[in-house]
Amino acid sequence: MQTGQVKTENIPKNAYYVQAKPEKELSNTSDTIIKKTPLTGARITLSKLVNDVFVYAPKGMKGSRNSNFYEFLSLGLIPNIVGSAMLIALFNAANKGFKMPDRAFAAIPGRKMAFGVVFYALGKWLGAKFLNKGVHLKTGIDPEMPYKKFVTELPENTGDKALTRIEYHRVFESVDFPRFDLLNKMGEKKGNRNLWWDKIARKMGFKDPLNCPEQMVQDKVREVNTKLGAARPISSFAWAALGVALAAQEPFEKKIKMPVSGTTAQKLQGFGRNFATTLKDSFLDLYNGNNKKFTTASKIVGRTLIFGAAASTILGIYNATRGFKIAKNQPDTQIDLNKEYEVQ
Amino acid sequence: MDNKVNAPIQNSQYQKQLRDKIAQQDIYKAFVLNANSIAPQEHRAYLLKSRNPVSSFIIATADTGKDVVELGKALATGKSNDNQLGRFNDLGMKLGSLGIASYLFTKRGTGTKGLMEFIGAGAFFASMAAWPRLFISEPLKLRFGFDIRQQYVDAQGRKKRLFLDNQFIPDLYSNEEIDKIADKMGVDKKLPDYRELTKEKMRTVALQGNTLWMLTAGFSPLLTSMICNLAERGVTKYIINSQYNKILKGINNPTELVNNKLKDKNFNSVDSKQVKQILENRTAAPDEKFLNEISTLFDPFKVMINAKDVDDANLIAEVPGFAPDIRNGINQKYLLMKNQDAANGMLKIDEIVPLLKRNLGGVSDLQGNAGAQGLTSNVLKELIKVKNQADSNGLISVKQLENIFDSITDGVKNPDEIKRLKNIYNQCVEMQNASPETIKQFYKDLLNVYETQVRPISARTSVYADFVNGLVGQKYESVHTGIHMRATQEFVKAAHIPTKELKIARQSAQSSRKILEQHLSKIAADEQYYKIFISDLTEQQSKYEAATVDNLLKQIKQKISNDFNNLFRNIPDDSPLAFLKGEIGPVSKKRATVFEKAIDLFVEEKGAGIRATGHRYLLEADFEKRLQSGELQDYWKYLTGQDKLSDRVIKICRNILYDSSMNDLSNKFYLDKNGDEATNIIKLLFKETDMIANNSRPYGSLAQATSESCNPALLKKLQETRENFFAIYSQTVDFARRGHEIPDVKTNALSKTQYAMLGKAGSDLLMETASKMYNDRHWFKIFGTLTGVAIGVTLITQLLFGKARNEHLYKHKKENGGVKNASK
Repeated sequence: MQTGQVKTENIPKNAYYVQAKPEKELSNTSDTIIKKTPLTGARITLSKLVNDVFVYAPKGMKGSRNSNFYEFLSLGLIPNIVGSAMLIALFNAANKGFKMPDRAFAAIPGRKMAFGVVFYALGKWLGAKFLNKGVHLKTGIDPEMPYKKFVTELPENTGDKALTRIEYHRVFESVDFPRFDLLNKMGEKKGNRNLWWDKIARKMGFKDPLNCPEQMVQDKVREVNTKLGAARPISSFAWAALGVALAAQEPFEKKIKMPVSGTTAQKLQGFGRNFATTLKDSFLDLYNGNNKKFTTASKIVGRTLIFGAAASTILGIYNATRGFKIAKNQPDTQIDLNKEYEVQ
Repeated sequence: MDNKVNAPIQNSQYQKQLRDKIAQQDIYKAFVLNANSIAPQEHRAYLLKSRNPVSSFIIATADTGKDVVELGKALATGKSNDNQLGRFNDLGMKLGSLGIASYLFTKRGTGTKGLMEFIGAGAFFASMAAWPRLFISEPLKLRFGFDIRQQYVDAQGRKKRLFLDNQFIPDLYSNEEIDKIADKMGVDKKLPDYRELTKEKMRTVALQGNTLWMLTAGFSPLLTSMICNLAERGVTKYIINSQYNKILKGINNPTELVNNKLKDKNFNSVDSKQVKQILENRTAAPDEKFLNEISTLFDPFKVMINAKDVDDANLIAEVPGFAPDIRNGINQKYLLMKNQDAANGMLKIDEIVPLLKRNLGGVSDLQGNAGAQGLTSNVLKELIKVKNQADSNGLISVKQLENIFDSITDGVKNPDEIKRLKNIYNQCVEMQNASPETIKQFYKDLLNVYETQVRPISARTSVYADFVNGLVGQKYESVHTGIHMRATQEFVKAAHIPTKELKIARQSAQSSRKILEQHLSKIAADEQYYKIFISDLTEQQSKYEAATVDNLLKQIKQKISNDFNNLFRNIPDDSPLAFLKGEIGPVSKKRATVFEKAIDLFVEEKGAGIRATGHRYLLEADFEKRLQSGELQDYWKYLTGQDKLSDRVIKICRNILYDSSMNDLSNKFYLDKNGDEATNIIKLLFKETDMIANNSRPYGSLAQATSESCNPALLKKLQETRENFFAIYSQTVDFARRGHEIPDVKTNALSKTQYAMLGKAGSDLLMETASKMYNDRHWFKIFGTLTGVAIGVTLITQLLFGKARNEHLYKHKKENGGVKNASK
């Protein structure tokens, strides 16, 4: 692996790239890939949510010129949250006013709806997560790789000063225009422009670093990204449906109990255990069919949901990564990929 | 714009000159001319026209189909674009929702619930789509003359929304359209750049509308729930109506339903499998155990006992089955077959001899002298002779035995004796087992009987049971339950009980009784209102009774009688079920079949319950009326001689009317211990006398207002109910405990029916109804209000739309190429 400094003599004289020194920061206001930690996703979502309420929504309502499509998409968080709360409220909020047996009966669908909403969101998130993770592991391409985008706004009022704004995007969010330039830039900071491409090329099966890996790898990356993008919503909703079906099972009709005694940690642990038991029972009910609550046909549909979700993940990863390892099946070529050529 | 590329080529002077110059080989000039002629091509994008809902639905469906194809392509080739991937998201959502709805549809429960899963999913999508249209884009369109959800088709043929991206809005409206919108928006057309200003304003409005959509879309589940709430009422009504119609149609032509049942593999599958298993595998001759088992399985009315409803199953299970008769029939059939078979068979002499020795003694001879020991010895002698001659194995053919018996019988003249000899002969023959072939044939025949006779009767029984169950069964969606629920709710509405009081009434039977009492006495105080109230209520009740009890149940009963007579008639004489032929005839004349008996019980019990429950409300209202008109006072005086009807007595009366239930001991306890007064109270409440009171009506009759405004069809039945009540309450025994029968006490109905004849207590019924109605209203109050507020806020916010912030920039005439203040 080539790290650190690249020897100048290794680079062809007339190559378009001659920079050899690692550059720390190109500019304070140019787009950069940010380091991903386990909490990055949550932080980005939170920042979007805060901006939704305090920046994007007011801007949109004023009809600002600077409102863009990113802001519109970010605002999509609001109906998701409000809608989920509304669905839960519709089945629960009125129950307090009911008298006792009615209240208990109304609480059953209420509880199920609440779990259904949560599991739907969780399933949707998990479905995408599984695919992304699987593809990341197999190809080294991280579909969730985030970058910070600096947007310069037009002044709207006299005296507007701070006109740059930060947006959080994903490098591969667009299949038409993935931000390959940022990947190069990321490498440049470490002195090797091809750092990321080399990594992917290795995953593809090239043992030695290629002279121009970007050329070899880019099309494959595009292909993987598109296939993944097509499979993702299908898998996502398959998992969401599975989540709802799980919440519809009999075990979720009962309240999940938290132990009365013990320290807070113990109580939480007990609650977690009870929840896990409920979830397991629900899964078994869904798999084996529950004759009390469902007809025999449910067994078939239930298993279809389970296997459908699993299959969407496995096949989705398989399909996205099939043909990725090309090195093994390379036809004999006259061009030595490891040799440097000069174009006269 | 001057479009030179698309201008008609032939007439273009450029083209002409170009051709000339090329001909002259003046390359430079040709190049210059060509360069001049090149201009941008006109865009190929165009706005989509708005369509009617039907064609847009069809196109949307076709688009979804296209998406599926595109998805396949994208997955296979890895080539697609962002716009298409966005559409896959919608596709995934549709597929996921379909999956969820299909799964929830398989939930056990009522038809309404099942249907609502799909309606719910549909309503969810509908309201997600409807919310931005109904409350945002349509009002804005009315106000500003353009649709912020306007779609266009781009150069690649992809459908997109024009105003989706605030910073990329293709300029696709024609100048005429912009002018119209400018008029609507009130843009001053004298401004030099009024079209630009209009477009800017359109952008602003669209952005504001889209933002508002995102902020309020979360409330669209409210719309979904409102749609579902309305839909559910319709669905319940629809399901009950269709159930009623289905039964009505089925009664007229049950054969088709019966045939469907017979084709259905699941019908009576457990029993059928068991019968097949037993009959196909068995090789041994039938024994006791076998006969018992098979005769139970062969009972064609057994399907009734498999009824889903536990209470109804219990009811039917009490009626004795036909298993003993069937057992007998099967046994007879076996013997018959064995005997026929035995005509060619062989018998063991050693086995026969003891039998003959036991039985033949005492056969009288020609002269009638008893104790002809010689006869027996003769037979034995003959036998031994035969044995010695014929067979060393000690076997004798049945033919030979018959010959011997014939020769003996010739010498006997007494017919009784002949019968006896014949009997002994038969016994001898029976000692031989049937051949394996015969046994096999017997089981085969039996299976055939099961398939061709038992199952058809079972299927028919089951079809009728379904009718009855669908009509008056206890299941949630039976016609009876449906109408009943509606009727009680309409009672609450007719009595004008407000939500505030429903809230109290739902708490307990006591509070609901108090409210019922208040309202009924208030109604009774107003003569006119009372009459309307009674006539409405009785009309409904009589319709209800006519629809369920009188009409359909009777039709079913009649139909069953005819149908089963025909079925029984067609049973072959040699069938084990042949005894059913004895059941042919009208219901009253024959020993009732299990089924008819069950139906009878059903009709009697359910009918009684349905009637009494409704009639109790009427009698309660009538009581209040009579109390106010003084009729009760007079009657009480007539009965007891006391001047005043004490409050204590009135309270007891009300206890009985409003509260008494089947197991209510307090009333009975009172009645048991209070001798004469109790009798008088019961009379006061329910008994009409022959004596004419002051108001020229008989003492104890219904109030004048009641009988005048009561539906005539119901009046007689109301009287009957009063008589029933009187009869039941007059017994001082524990009359209405379920299943409690006292041998010496004569009652007017089965204890079980009596139980139902009391009906449900008005206070209990009101409590349940109030609870349901209150819950519905309470829920609606919260979410109906919220829906209204959400819609209101969404609409009012739009009043602030449409002001371009930089409007002033367009108000100055552009000079210096639009550069402002350039001269300063």
